[in-house]
Amino acid sequence: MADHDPKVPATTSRKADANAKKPFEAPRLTVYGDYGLTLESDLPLRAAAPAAGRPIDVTFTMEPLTGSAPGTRSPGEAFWYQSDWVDDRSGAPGLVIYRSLHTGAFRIRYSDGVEFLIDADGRHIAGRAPSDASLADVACYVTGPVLGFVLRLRGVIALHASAVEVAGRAILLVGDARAGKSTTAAVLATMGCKVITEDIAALSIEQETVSVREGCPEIALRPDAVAQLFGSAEALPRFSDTWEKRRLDLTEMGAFSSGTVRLGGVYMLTNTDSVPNAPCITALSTGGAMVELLANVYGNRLFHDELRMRELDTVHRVVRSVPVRVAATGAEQRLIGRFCEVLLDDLHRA
Amino acid sequence: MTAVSIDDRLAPSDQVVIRELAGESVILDLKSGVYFGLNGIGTHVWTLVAQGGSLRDVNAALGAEFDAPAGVIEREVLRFAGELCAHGLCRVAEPR
Repeated sequence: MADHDPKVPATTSRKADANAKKPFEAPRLTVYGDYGLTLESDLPLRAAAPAAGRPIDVTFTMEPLTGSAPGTRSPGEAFWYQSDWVDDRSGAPGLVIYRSLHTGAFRIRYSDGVEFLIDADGRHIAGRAPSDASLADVACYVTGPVLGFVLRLRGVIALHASAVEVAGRAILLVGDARAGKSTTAAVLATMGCKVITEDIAALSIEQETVSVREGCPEIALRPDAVAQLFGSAEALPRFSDTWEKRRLDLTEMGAFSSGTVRLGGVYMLTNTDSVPNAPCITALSTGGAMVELLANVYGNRLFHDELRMRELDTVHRVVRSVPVRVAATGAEQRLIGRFCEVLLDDLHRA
Repeated sequence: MTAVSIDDRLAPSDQVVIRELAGESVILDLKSGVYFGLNGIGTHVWTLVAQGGSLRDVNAALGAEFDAPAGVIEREVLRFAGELCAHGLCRVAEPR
C-alpha cells in the first residue's frame, strides 16, 4: 500500500487552570458532505460545506475513553492489519486495526492512543481519545484516513491522490505521501485552478463514466512548502499544536471545486532525481498504468475478495477511459512552479 | 522456480481474475491479494494457456508469430510458465 502521511502528534500535557472558567460554546451538531458522503458529527470537523437536506450517510460521535484503552487485541477481536510505519518515539506500530469476531466492527488504534470504532457497514464512527489528545488531531484523523477507511467499507474506491479541475475535467495527481501531490495542488490553486480534493480521491462510476468526488476544502502543507509559496511558514495556520503541517483554506481562496467532476486524466507523480530533464511528462504503458494505480488505491491491503474485484474493475475502467502519464516533478521543491506549468501545458495539448 | 516441461499443460487458478487492456493485462490473485502485470506477450501466453493448449502448442504459436533465434522462445515460455506456477497463478494440469 502506498504510504499515507504518518501524522503522529506529539504527546502534550494540557492541564487547565482549575480555578478559571472556560468560555462557553454552545454544543453544535453540523452536517457535512465529504467525498460524496453526508457526515453528521458532534465534533467540529474541517469546514466542508454543510450538506443540508441530504440523508445522513455516516455519523461520528466522541465517546469517553473509560479506563485504559487496550493497546493489544481484546477478547472477541481478531488482528486485522498493522502499518509498516512505526512511531519514532515509542517504536510501536503507527496504526493497528482489529476486527470484532461477533459484529464485524473495526477498531482502529493509532500509536498516540486515539481510537476509532467503525461498524461493519461503515455507517457509524465512534472516536475515543486520551485526555491529552488534541481534538483537532482527532478531527484530522476523521476527515482523512478514517473516512478513507469508511469509503472502502462502503465499496467506494479511492486513490492516494489530489484532484484539480481543469477545463471542466478532474485531473488526478497520484502518488504516495512524499510525491508532492498536495504541494502541486496548492500551486495549481494559486495559478487559478480549483481543487476538488487533497490526499484522498474518491471515485464514482455511473454508466461507464468515472468521476471524482469532492473532498475537504483544505490542503495540508509542509512548512517548507508554505514558505516557498507564501514567503513564510507562518503565513498559514497550523492544524493543531501537535502537527507541523499548515492549513490552506481553499474556500477562502475561492479555489475549491465542490460536487463531482468527470475524470479527464491521471498523472503519476514522481520526484526522484533519476529522471533527466525533469520536470517533464512521459508516457506510461496501459499495463504499467494499471499496476501503478492499483498500488495507490487507498487501503488496498485492508480488504479482499469482492472489494478487490471492484478495485480492479474501477482501475481498469479509469485506464480505459482517460490518459495516464508519468509526471516527474523534479527532486528539488523549487521546481514545483515550473512543473505545474509543464503539467498545464500538457493538459492543454491533450 | 517451479519446473515445467514443454509437454505440460497449465491450468489457471480459479482464484485469479484478469483484466486486459491494449494487449497488456493485470492479474489479481484473490487468495493473496497480490496484483501481477503481464506485458503483451505474457498476456498472449496466458490466453493460449487458458484455452487449454500445452506449452508445446504455445511455443509453436509464438514461433509462428515472432522472429527469434532457435530455442529462445521455448526457453522463455518454460521460464515464464515456471514463474506463473511459482506465484500460484497456474498449476500443471493433469494429462488428458
